[in-house]
Amino acid sequence: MHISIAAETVTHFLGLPISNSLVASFLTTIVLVSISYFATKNLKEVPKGIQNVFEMIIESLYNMIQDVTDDKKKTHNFFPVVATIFLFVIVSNWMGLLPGFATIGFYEEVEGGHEVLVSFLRSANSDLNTTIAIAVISVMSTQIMGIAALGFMKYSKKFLNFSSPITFFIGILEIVSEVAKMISFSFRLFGNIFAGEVLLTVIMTIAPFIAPLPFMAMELFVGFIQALVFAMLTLVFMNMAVMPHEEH
Amino acid sequence: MPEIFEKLGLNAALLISQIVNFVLLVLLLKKFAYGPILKVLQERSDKIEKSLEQAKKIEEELKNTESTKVEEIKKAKEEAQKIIKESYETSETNSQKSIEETRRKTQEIVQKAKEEIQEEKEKSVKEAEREIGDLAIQIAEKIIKKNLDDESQRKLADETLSKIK
Repeated sequence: MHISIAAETVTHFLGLPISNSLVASFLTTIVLVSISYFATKNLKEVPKGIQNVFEMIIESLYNMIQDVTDDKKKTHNFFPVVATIFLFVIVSNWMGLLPGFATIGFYEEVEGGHEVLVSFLRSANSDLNTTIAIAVISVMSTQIMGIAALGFMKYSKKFLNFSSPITFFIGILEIVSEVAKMISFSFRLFGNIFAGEVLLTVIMTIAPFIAPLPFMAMELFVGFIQALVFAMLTLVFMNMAVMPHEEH
Repeated sequence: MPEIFEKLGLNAALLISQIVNFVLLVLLLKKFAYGPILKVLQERSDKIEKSLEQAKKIEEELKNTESTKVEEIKKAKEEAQKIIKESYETSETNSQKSIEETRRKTQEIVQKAKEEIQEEKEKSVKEAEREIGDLAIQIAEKIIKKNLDDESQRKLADETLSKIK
């Protein structure tokens, strides 16, 4: 049993390392895009089959965002990023539970002299690179939404305000909190999913049959909750960013 | 610091590829999923709203028509009743009139016929009188010619004539 916090590099492409979690990310992207392509290929007035399911998911996400923003225009702006975060996180979390993840690979010799299994696929969110990437996207798009809604000068006053020492200090705190947001976003998701992976690996080593099932169920639940938390927090932060903050 | 990053598996290239991947995913999903589906959903809710409104309108109209219909039927019934009554009355007076007329005409005809008969009768009586008179004279002449002379003849003739007159 070998557990590595870092994702293993599977291959190199044009000098860039390709990690197994990056492969899983690509796979998630391909799955999502192809599902949505086939679901919307010929949209019908009366939905049927995959279109119906997909519409239901999109609609409930839309309604969730609408409930928070209570403003059609805001919902329209927030929707793509928030919905994509939710869909990407949940699909990659659940995909990571499929057989074949972290089990099929090749053996590679490490420094200690012994060989370890390098799997071709690793749950995308059990790699910090993925979670930080999503966190960066989330925080960056929050800033963009704020600037788009309030204007650059007004929005930047939140961080740089020299009108009084107190507001200046608050501005610094705001900057710190934005960085903290990124860290908390990424480590929360990474921690949950990585812990789940480790837990499943350990259980499967101890008792390979039946015993992992309840843990699998729990991981399904965790995967959903983490996706929801990530999307909801992004949504709430965006909603806060576009609110005009009170003048001091 | 870089050691920690390495332990955590952080790698700038991987991070950037993940970011690019995610941005790509957002754009692709926006094109293939969010755009078309939200459009369809919007269209559908618009349509439902519209048809609900229309249904309400139609119902209202139906109610209006219903009341108008009832009123119209009531009116028509009243009118029909009136027409029937009128026509009944007219026919009544008409028939009364025609009966009277007929009776009058009949009476007239009868009267005329009676008068004619009377006239005819009188005429024929007069004719008969005259003819009988003539005949009597001729017979008397024949009988008397033999027995009487002119004088007594004359006398007799005058007598007879005066009687007749």
